[in-house]
Amino acid sequence: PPRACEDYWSEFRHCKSFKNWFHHYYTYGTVPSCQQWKEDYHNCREWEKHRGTEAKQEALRRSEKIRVAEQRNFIPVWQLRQEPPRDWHVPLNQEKPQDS
Amino acid sequence: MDQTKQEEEYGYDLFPERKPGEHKKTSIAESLFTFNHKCQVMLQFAVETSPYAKLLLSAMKSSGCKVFKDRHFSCEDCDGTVSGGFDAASSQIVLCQNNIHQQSHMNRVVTHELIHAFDHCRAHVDWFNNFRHLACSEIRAANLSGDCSFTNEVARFNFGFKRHHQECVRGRALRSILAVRKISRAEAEKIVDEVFDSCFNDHAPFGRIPHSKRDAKFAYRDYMNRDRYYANL
Repeated sequence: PPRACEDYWSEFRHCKSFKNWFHHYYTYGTVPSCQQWKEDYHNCREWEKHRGTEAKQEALRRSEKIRVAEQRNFIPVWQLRQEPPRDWHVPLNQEKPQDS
Repeated sequence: MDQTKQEEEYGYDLFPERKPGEHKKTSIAESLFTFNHKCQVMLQFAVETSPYAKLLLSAMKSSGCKVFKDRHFSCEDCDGTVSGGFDAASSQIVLCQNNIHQQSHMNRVVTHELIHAFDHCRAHVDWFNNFRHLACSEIRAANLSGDCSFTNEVARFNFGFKRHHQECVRGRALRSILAVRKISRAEAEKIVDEVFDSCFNDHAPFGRIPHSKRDAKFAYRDYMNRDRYYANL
């Protein structure tokens, strides 16, 4: 499975905690919904024990894909690099004075 | 470009030790009992123990920007109340040794500046000419570093609850921009508004808004397991 099953359970417990409720309301003005973590935990256990049907594995994968999509739900303001900046490792004493 | 004009335009006057071409040498006595030493010690503790910092350092290493404490961090005296900065020209994070006195503050500043460094590393951020890019990185840094936690806001006497986090992020991003660039407040507000939705929702590399150390630890765990995660989707 994408995560260890204990991870799903710890995320569920964390989601249900008062602190998380507080932070979620403080950030979004709504209450968090935690049911999906619990469902994912159960599907994960089925998957791990090879008991689960293909459907349960798919359900878990689908749930995770939704999470990934939620994290990408914005249009970037900048262009991503293909390589790191060339001067990241250039030693300090060798730097020329800026001329920008 | 004229040196002084450049210094003022890009906020370098807040960091008087950053004049190009100057390198200070300190005596051993100076290095043991000063703000500088305290700053170095707190920095070491932050990078070793803060899950926020550890995640960012890992992510930067994966992106090809491995961070070396001696090369990429600099403890210096700064003007005013500024706590730190990221100097893209020298690829250095500046920590204001005269303004950071508590470990929790150091952890937060290190996280905040590492977010700027991370953005610099993974994207073509035009720090000097594109205000939208600057605003975006400031929004992300205020959002993800814990700057706008409920307790930090209360300590600043900003009492708000429902959705207050977003107001705080907007406000702090605005302040950061106005501190280092000469533009009007109205203009800065407009720019922050334009990029807010996009940048507020960009949680890289955390994958969530880390409100507490617990959140950050979970985010760090997810980051360390990312290979397995994506392989099994």
